[in-house]
Amino acid sequence: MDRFEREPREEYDYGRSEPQPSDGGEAAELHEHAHRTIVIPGEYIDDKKGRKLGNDVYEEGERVFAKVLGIPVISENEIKIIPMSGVYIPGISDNVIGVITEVGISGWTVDINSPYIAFLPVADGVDEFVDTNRTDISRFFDVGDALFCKISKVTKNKTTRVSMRAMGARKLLGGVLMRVKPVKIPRIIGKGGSMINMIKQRTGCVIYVGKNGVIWLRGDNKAKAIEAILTIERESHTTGLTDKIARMLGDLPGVVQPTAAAAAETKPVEPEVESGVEVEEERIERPKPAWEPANF
Amino acid sequence: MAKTNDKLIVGGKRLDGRGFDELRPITMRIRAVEKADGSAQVSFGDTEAIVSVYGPRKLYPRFLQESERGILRYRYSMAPFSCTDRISPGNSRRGTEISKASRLAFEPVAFLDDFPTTVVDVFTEILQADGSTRVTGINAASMAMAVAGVPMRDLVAACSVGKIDGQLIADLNGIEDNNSEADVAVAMMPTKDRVTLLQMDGALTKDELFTLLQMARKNCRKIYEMQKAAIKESFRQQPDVAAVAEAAEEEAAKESQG
Repeated sequence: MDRFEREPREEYDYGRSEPQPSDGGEAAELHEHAHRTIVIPGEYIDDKKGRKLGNDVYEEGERVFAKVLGIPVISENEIKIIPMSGVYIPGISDNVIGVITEVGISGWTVDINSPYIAFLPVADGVDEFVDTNRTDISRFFDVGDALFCKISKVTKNKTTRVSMRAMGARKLLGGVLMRVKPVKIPRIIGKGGSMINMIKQRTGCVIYVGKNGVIWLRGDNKAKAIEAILTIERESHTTGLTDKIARMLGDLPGVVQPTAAAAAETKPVEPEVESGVEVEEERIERPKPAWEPANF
Repeated sequence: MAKTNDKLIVGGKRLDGRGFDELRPITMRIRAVEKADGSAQVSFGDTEAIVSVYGPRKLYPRFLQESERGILRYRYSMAPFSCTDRISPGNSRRGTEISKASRLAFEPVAFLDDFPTTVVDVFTEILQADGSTRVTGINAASMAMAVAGVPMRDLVAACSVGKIDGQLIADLNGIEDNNSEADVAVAMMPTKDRVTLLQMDGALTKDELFTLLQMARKNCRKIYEMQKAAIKESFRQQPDVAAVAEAAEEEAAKESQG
């Protein structure tokens, strides 16, 4: 049987929408104008005039100042800054890629590339009922597993909880993980996903982008995709980047264009163990899925 | 640097030809250490400091964590090769003291409340010492923290002022520092006009101190403008020369065909 036909459904992802950070568009555009309006901490931006203030600005009386290095965004309703750098601080509803660091009794500890560690309770990780007194939950997720999940709660001390009960949440099998500066993620995604979709199509890779600056890739041409992403990270504040990346990627061998059959497939994944077929990174073992993938 | 009995002011000018209020030539650049979250290298004349900033990041050992705010860890260190006499590597009492004083210069500036249980690590290394090393370090640290994305109320600008041969001066170099009657280090939030560090060695009258503070204030503002310019300049768009050239070629090709 042709190995291509036996590939799990997720291998070719074209046309399927992934959860995207909602501000990819505006932030992506603004990064291009960095040279015109960048401000340093302590620099005066505008008077408050009753507007809402974003996270990276502070007020003294009526005057509003920048807290971090970045590009000010001033609108009728809001004053905020798009930062040029900074660590990832968990925000509720963010889609992130985390790596399991500990298996507990009633849940897992997840590294989300932040000074703050996240917790995945077993009820939010697995759809079926699990008796934690009898079950070792490492059969669902074990140390080192990579997950695409959603932040479900953040307390004021930044204690964080994640959940797999979200559109597109899944365990990421095989592939590689890379880290970029979290503030560059909107630029990597591009307006309406234009940049990342171009990279995916031209390299034929499956790519998941977490708002926390972690990116997962799988595919034969992932080296080229990684190079493109690192270029965007380095030059995010220049213009003409989309064209430059398009030229960099050109046409690569072995890229499969989406077929009608692949796009139409919506059946749930059958439990499969690939025997004897060694994949580059590891044997892809597929346990029975813990949840029904939603129709995308 | 050895003490000297020679005059430090000759013919109305300092030994290096500077005016009394004049700063040494200053260079500043950011991203000196690529792997750090933020970094900067600053030189005042022959004094050279390089700073790396990491954070906010998880703080270990856990007993140092503060549940309501982050902490700042500032390490000032002189490289063994920074002076003509070898400096023994490792902690020294002077280094520990300057580390603490410099940390206190940044405590009121950084928004540490935004990052409970974390730490911002600042590593200041003096590569070459010719007087006023701690303020050079603070100037570089301020830029490095801004580049790392640590939220701050303002940048911090610092300079040294003092008295030599009865004359009040700014920006003491090595020989002036070692032979001064008074040596004052000042760090400020320039746009807020607030002082965050004030240290003095020596003896001054109250009037002299206030005069020196005014001199420091003026020079810190100058240094702030340089810090701001150095940071902004690094982010200025570089024209993508190759792309422009290619686009021009394509257009020319189209025109010749069409």
